Amino acid sequence: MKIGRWFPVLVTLALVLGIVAGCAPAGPAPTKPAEAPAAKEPIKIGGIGPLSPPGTPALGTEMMNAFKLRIDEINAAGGLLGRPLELVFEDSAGTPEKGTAAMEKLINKDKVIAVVGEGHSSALLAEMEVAHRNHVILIDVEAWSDKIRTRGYREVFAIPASNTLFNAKIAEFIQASGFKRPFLLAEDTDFGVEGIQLLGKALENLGITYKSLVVDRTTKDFVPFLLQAQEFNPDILVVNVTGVGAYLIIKQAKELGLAPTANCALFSGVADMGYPELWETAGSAAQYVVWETAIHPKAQYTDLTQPFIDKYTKTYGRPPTYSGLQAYDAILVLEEAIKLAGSTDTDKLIEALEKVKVKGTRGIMSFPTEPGVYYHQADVPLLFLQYTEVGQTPDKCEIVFPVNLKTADLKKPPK
Amino acid sequence: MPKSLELFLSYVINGLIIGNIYGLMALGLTLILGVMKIVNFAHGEFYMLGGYAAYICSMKLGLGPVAGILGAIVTVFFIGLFVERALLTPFYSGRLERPSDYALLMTFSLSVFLMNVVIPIFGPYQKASAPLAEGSVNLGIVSVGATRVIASLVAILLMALLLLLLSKTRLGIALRAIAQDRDAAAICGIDVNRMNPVAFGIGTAMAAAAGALLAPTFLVYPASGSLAASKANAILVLGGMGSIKGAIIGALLLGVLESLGVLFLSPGYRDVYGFLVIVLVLLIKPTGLFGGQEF
Repeated sequence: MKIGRWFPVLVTLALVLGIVAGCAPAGPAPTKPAEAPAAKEPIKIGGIGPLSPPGTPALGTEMMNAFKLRIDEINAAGGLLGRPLELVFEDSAGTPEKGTAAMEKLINKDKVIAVVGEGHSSALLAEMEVAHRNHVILIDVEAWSDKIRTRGYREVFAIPASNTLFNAKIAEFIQASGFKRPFLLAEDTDFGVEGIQLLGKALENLGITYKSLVVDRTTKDFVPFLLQAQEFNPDILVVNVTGVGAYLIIKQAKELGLAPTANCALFSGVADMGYPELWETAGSAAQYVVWETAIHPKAQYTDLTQPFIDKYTKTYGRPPTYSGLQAYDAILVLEEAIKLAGSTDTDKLIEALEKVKVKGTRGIMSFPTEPGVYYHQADVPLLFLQYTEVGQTPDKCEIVFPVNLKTADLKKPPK
Repeated sequence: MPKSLELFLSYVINGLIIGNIYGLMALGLTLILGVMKIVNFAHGEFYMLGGYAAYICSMKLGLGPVAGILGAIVTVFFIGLFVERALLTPFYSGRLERPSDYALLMTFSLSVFLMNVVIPIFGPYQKASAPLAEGSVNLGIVSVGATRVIASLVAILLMALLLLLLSKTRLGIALRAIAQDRDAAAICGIDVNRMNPVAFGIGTAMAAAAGALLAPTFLVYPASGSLAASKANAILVLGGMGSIKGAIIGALLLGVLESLGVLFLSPGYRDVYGFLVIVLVLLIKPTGLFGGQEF
């Protein structure tokens, strides 16, 4: 046998084996229940979210970590219904096609009793169809589209803000801060497109002139779009683009001299603003960026807020954003429903979820049953923060809105 | 200058800056296609590896942005040599019934492999390498990021160096001879099989250079090569398969077309305009703009 003939095969095999042996697994391994109740069959909870682009991997990872944290706490306390919990997490990449496949696997192969997660509306809108068809509960952790609520599926419950709620707040912030010419930039997803329409309507109601643009979130060069914004001469650039695009826009808008500048502020309405990657990738361009969140040391909603933040920070080496709080709250809600229902049967769990009043890290959560944008929607606090220093951590930001909670006025970069 | 002309020129300038970097990607792909007759489906992943190499050199090792770019070019050149020797030699061994299918499947598999293999190593988060310059450059009618301008100028320099190598050196003449007629080049005494790894190494190094130049601006993450590769492939078709002149002109054309499409048509379809023009060009001239001409 000539070695030359087999050389490519051997090299490939060696490479694959070397990498498999040498590296930590990329995907999340299921959280195995701890010790004692292991003899009993675990209650499987499905987790879903973006662990790879074009979704926001940082968001998916944070959700997964927060799920694990609460599930480990429950297991350490003896589990639920005398059984341990097991998390099976799947990557949706934030896309409908991968999300659908992941949901199918969780429900039909892993036989989970409920699914929690997702951070992209387009993906969740596809995933909720699978949940509805299979009659399995899906708790939305960070997808904001109104359609998720207005479809009125009994199996779907929402923990985060809805687009209507969020955009009404942005419009109020724009008006209260005295901006007159907002330029809105949104990604071409359900979150972005729906949000831009809602915000546009809210601004029109307030008599504010604006211009808007929908962009492909996978694009890397946003300059042609930003040139259009520059042509409008805005006094605030409102950016609702998730993932890598969120950072690229800030960087490119600054390079172009558009925003954040003395003449034009920049507001970004996505969870990505709370991650340390903001500074690593956008650098000093992110100074003076305004963003929204539900979390701030000066806003201690319940006695669960700070212990969760401390434990998360200690366990994972970085503080959580509001998405972490929402993910933790999702498990708290499911836990309470299982206890109340005394069962993992979907119908009984839905009945319980519609009745519960659960104390979470962001306040008391309950799920109204009146049809519309607030159907199965938990009440959500929103804060508008501003990075005033380069490399600032979210807890050091100033609250600039709402007026009753603000700790400082909006700052502008020097001319 | 009228405001509308100013706006038009600012879009053209942005298009040309991006076009130069597209050109660097497309040129590497063209070299590999011309010499080896392989369409490298993993080209985008060599772009991504270039970005990561620049990140490691400039940020982790603290060697600075220039060393980052040079490190990326050299590292990926050797990775390219290794990949060619390890995985692509069966393509021209004469043992395969359908060598083109082998090359297609192998480079496609390599693309998926490389994209996934960096996830456990670097994580899913995006990284930025050290920028060549901070701040913006005011070009009179438009302010452009300094990193982007320098990246564009370095791309022009690298393309000029490659053209010089191809036209003035014995190695370049040998590569061009193989691209024109592999058998005739072999008869003239050129060891065609020894030229393959060189062409593949240089081609992948060009992709790495583009990735390293753009890593501070467009960031690097596991899937960052996908869009760049799709642009390079489009330029390859637009300019004419295997034509160096076509790759450079096609790249500039695509950059400007995309930019102007946003200005005159709808911004929502930015990535569609270039492909629309490609379809039109192919309908009129199926070999692309400069297809069938000398390499």
